[in-house]
Amino acid sequence: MILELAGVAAGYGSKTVVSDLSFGVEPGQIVALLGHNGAGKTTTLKTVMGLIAPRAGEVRFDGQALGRMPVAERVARGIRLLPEGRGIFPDLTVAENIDVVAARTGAQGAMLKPADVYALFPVLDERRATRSGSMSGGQQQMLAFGLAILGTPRCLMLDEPSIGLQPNLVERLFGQVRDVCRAHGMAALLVEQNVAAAMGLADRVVIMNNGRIVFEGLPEEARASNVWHYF
Amino acid sequence: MLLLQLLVNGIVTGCALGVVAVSFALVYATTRIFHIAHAGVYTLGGYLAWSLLAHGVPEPLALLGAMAGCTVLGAAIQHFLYAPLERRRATHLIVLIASLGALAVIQNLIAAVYSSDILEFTIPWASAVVTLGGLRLTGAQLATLALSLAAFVGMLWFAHRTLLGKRIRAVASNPFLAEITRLEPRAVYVTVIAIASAVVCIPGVLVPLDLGLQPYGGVTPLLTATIAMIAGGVGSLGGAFLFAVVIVVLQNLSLLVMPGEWSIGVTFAIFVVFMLFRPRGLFAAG
Amino acid sequence: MRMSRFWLAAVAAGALLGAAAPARAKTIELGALLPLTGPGAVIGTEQMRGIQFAVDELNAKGGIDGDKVHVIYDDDQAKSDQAVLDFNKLVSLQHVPMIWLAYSGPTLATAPLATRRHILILNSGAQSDALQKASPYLVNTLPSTEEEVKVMVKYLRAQGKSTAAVLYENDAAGIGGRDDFVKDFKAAGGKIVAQEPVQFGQTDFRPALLKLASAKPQVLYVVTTVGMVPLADQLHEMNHKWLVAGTTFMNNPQVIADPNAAGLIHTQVEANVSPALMAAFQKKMGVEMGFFSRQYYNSAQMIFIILDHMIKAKTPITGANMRTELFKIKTFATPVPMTFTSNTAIVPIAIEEMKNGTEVTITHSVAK
Repeated sequence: MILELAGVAAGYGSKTVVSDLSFGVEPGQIVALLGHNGAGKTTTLKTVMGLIAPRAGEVRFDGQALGRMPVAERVARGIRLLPEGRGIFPDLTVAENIDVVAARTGAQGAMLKPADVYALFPVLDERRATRSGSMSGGQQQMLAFGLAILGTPRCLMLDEPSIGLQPNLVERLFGQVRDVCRAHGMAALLVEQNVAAAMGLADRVVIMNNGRIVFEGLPEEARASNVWHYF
Repeated sequence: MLLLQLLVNGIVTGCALGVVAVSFALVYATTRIFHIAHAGVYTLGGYLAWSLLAHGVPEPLALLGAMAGCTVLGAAIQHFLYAPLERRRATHLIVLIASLGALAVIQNLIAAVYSSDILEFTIPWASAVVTLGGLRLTGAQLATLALSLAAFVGMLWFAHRTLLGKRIRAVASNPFLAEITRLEPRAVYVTVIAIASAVVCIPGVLVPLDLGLQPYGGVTPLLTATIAMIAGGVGSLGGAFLFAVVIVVLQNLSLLVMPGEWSIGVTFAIFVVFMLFRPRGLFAAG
Repeated sequence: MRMSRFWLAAVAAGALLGAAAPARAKTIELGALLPLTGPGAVIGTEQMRGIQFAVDELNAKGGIDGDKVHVIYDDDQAKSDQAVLDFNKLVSLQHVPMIWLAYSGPTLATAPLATRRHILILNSGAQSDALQKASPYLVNTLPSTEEEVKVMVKYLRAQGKSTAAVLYENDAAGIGGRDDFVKDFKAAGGKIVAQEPVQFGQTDFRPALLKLASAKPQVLYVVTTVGMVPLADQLHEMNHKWLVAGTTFMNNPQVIADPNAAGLIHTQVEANVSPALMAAFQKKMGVEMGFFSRQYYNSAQMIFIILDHMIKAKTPITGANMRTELFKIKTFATPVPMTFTSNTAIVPIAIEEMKNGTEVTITHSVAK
C-alpha cells in the first residue's frame, strides 16, 4: 500500500464529519471515492493532505504513519492534491504557474518535469505567455492537472476534476490520469460526482455515506450491488 | 508655466507615494493584511537615515542602513504580531487594530527619541535648485524622481522576472493552492513584508529629505497609497503606482480651480467615485 | 502571599499618612494644559520650561510666604477635544483654581468651561482675535494678532507696498490672522491679490506658493504656526521677488538660523528679559530661553504677584478671587511689564528682519 487509512475520524470544530475510515490505495492503482454531497469525501482528502488533523486512527504513507507531518513535507514526499475548481494561480501566466510549482516540488531527479507537462498538453506549450485565469475551463483544468503532477507524485488525489468540463474533455483528462498512473506507478484517489466516468476509470471503488464507508470493491461488484440507493 | 510646475511637482511627489502604494499593495495582495503599520516603517526609515547621516555615514550607505533597519522592523511585525494572530485565527478586524496599535507605538517611540519637532536634513545638494527651462526643482526632488522610478521598475522586475517574485504572486493569487504545492505561504509573508519595508524606506527617506521629518508624517502618504491601491485594483502593482501619481497630480492641479483646503477632499472624492462605480478598481486582477 | 500583600498595603498606607501628616506649609496647585506631543510640542515644551523655571526659582526662595507652588502639566496635543477632557480632569479631580493654556483652539474650547466653573485661564501663547472676548475668565498676556497686523500693515504701506497675497494656516489662528490682514490692508489702501490656506503640520507649501506667485504680489503675508523652515527653504527655491512678512509665529530659532530665511520680516511681541535671567535659565535648562519660555515665565511671575497679595490678605485662593485681584493690581512690574485695561495685556511690538542667522529690529511701537 502506498496510502492507507486505518480507523480515521476527522471533522471541523465540534462536528465530526468522517469516522472509522479504513481503506488503501496500491501503487499504480486508481481508487474512486464516491458518495453524495456531504458524505465526507473532501474531508477525507484534506485529512490525508494534512490540512486537518485526524481525531482518531492514522494515515500511513508508504508504510509510515504521518501523524502531524506538515503539509509541505507531505507534498515533498509525493502526496498531491488537485483541488476542486481552484487548481491554478489565475494571475500568473501558464509558464509562471509551471515554473513556480516545479521549483518547489521537483528536485533534479523529478519524475515529471515542466517539459513532460508541456508534452502531455501541447496547448499549454502554445499558451505559455497567456494569463492562466483567462484560458478556457478545459485548458485551466489541464494546467491544474499539470501542476498537481509536477515533481514526483506518488499518490495524486483529485477532487471533482470533471466539474464544469464537457464530456469529451472529461474523457481526455481521465485518459491522461490513467496514462500517468500506468507509466509512472502513481496511485490516484479520485473523488467524483460523475459516477459513470469514475467507474470507467477506477480499479477499485469506495462508497461513502454520512461519513462512513458503505461499500468497497471492484467496479463491476459495485454495479451489481444494491449500494445505488445512496445516490 | 504655473500649470507645468504644479504638474511636475505633483509627478515627483506622486512617484514617491507610488512606491509607498506599490509596497503596501504587495503586502495587502499577498497577505490580505491591511498593514497600516507600514506608515510607521516608512517614518522610521527617514529617522534612521537622519541619525546615520548625523553620525557621518556617507549618504548611499545611510540609505542602505535605513533600508536594512526597515527590513528588520517589517519582518519583526509579521513574525511577532501578525503570525501569532493568524495562528489564533484572528479576524481581519483584529489584525487591523493590532496594526494600528503597532503604528501608534512606532510613532510614539520616534517622538520620544527624536522629539515631535520637524527635523530637517542638512544636505546642501538636496536644497540646491536646478533650473530646467522655466522649471525649478531641488536636488531632493530630482533624487526622489529618479530613485522612486527605479524602485518601481525594480519592484515590477522582481515580481515578474524572479522566481521569488513569481512565488509571491502565486501566493497572492491562490493561497490554498500555494499551501498544497509547497510554496509555504507563511514563509512568503515574512519575505513580502521584509521586502516591502525595504522598498518603502526609499520614499521614507526621500520625501523628508525635501519636506522634513515628522513622527506622524507617515499617515497621509499611506492614506494616499491606500486609495491608489483600491482605485488601481488590488493585485495590480502598476495600477497602484499610476493612481498614486494621478491622485497627487490632481491634488496639486486642483489648486488652479479651487482653494487648497479642498485638495485632500479631492483624494476622497476619487475614492468615493471608485467605490460607487468601480469597487474592484480599474486594473483589478482576476 | 496573602500576608505579604497585607503588609505591602499597610506599609503603603503608612507612607501615605506619614507624608500627609507633617505637611503644615500648604502647596498651591495650579494647572497647565500645553501641547507636549504632536506638531505643537516644540512650542509646548518651551512654554512648560518657562513656567517650571519660574516655579523652581520661587520654591527655592521659600515659596510665597512659605507656601510652595506646584504646577500639574497635562498634554492636550494642541487639540480642542483633548483640552476639554484635560480641563475637566484638572478642575474636578485636582481642584486647581487657574490653568495656563496655549494655542487658540484649546483656549477657545475651554473658555466657556472657565466661565461656568469660575476658573482663571491664562493664555501666554495664542493670539487669535476671538480670544479677546471668549470669556471674562480668560486673560491673554500677548496682544492679539490684530494688534500685530496693524503694526505690520502700517509699516508695509509706509514702504510703498500696495499688493499682497496671504498664506494662512487653515485653523482659528491662521484664519483670524488672514481676516485681520485682509481687512486692515484694504482699509489702508492696499490690494489683496490672492490667498491660500495650508493645513496645520503640512510642510509641502509648493503648490500654494506657486499659485500665490502667479498673482504677482509685492508682499506675501504668512500666518502659519509650524513648518517655518521648509517654508523658508521652498520660498528660497522659488527665487521670489516679494517681501515675506509674518507675525510672532515666525520667531523660531531654527528659522532664524536658516540662511534661506534671510530677508523675512515679522512683527514681534517684545519679551526681553535681563541677560542674567537668560543665563540662569540656560544653565539650568540646558537650552536658550526662547520667546515662549520668556512669555510663560513672565505670566508665572504675574500669578505669583497675585497669589502673594491674596495670601497676605488671607483671601481664599479661588479662580474668581484670582481674577478680581488681577484687575485690581492692573499693572505688573514683571520682567516684561504688562498693563491690563481689558482681558488682554498692553505690551510693545517690534518689527524684526532675519539676517545672517540672527534678527535685526527695524521699528518699535506699542499696541493699545
